[in-house]
Amino acid sequence: MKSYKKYDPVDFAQDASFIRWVLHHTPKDTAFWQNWLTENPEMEASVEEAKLLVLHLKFKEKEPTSDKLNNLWEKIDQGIASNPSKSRFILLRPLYLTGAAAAAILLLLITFNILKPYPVDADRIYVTTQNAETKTFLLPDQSKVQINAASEIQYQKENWSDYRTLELIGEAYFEVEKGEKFTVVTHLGNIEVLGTKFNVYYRGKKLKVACYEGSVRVSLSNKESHTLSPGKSIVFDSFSVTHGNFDQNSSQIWINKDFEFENVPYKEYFGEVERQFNVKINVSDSSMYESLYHGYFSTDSTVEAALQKACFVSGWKYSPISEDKSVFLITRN
Amino acid sequence: MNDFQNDTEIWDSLRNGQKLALELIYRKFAPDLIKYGHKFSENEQLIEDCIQDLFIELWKNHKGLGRTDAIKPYLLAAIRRKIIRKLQQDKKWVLSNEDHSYPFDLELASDEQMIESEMHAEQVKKLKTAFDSLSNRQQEAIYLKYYSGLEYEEIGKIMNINYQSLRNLVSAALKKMKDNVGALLFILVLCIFFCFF
Repeated sequence: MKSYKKYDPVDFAQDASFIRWVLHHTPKDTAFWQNWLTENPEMEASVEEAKLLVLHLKFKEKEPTSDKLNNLWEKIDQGIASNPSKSRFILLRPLYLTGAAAAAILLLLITFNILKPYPVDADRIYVTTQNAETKTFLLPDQSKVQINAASEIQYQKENWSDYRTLELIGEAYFEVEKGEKFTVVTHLGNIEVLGTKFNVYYRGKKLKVACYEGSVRVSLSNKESHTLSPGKSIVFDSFSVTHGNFDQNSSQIWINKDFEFENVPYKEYFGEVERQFNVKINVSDSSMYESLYHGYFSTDSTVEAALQKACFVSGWKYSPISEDKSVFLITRN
Repeated sequence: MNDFQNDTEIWDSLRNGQKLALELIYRKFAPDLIKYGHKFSENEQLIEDCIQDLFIELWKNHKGLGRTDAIKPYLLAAIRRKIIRKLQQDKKWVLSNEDHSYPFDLELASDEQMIESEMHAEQVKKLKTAFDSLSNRQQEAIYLKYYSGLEYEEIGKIMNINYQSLRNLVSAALKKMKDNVGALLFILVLCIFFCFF
């Protein structure tokens, strides 16, 4: 325990816990400092002085608009795709002599086949979606993939039928043609099938796999392995595994624009609403994320309807959606 | 809201070549990078160019990136180096040590809620004057500590300065501000005390 008794206002004003209390009212720090003040009432003046000092250390800031942020990202995205060596040259400019020498040596090495040029990932395919965007595409073996919003799939096009392996972040629904083993790789586990229909959701610390047809094997990063038959699902949250049942013939799935949630934290529900409607949801109190929600929304309906449902159950209010597509949720009291 | 719970995960995804991770990092940190960048220069184009270069390089070098569990200080340090280097190029500065001559323009905001009385307005004015008299390095350290919420260790790495010197720098700055407003602050403390308790 630090000896706060010897602190002067300038010391307090630099203490991390003190700053968290004053600026962010974090419960743990608030409790600590309130308690500490009751025990050390003689320090009250110092503490108040430090508090004022910290409270005044606010700066004039202009938040960049979302338009500006989106434009800049587009430039970065294009820069990555179109001009692979641009930034290297900028980097080397002050060292052009060294650069030229290095280039000459490199050329010699390549000419005499001592060094092969770095293989270019020309046939590495990336399929990505933005918020409020879904894509359907066919793999080289005619397997069909439907990819949900804000997701990415990447795979090697060359020799596809030999490996049939792709990497996924986000969510996708697969209809796999019969053939060799087909593998979906995520950081929380691999999903292996021969020829089936299944859905994979991998975001943050959660992996959810649902089998719609055939048989699906899930090898988790905790070394466990599970086989799913149609109508069975599995959720792995990097600590525990939960098995579930669903009606595999029901049309309630995201590819039909229906999003169902069974006892998931609001954080997950809001995350999906954000991705499907491209909005930014802000809550007045982060504990609002934690409680569990049971419900659904459809992207045929409006974002307001999706928010309305969640707010109705919990007694929250939501603000009108602003120009930059932000919405605020507050508890009623 | 972010799907990735922590920096380590999102950074590892980038190192593994997940392009979505790069975009997530951009979405999460670009606003802070832009705001920090503008403290060095009002030239929006220059700041945007630097951020663009930074993210393109991150993507190109993702295989060679080391592990990190704190992305923000890493990015702030990188953008700072880039901007200072670019400013030096543009102005044809010849400097042996970048850190002792660079612009950093920061202005205290007046919280409207806090300026209730005329006495308080006077108070804030004095604080602002005191703050303006601080060196660029002191202002930058205070900005990183109070606005960006970084630890001294992280700030030290960004600003190329050791822990103790940094603490001394910030202590001296805060003391200067406090001394400039000492007596008035005390009255204000009493006012606030009686208003709220």
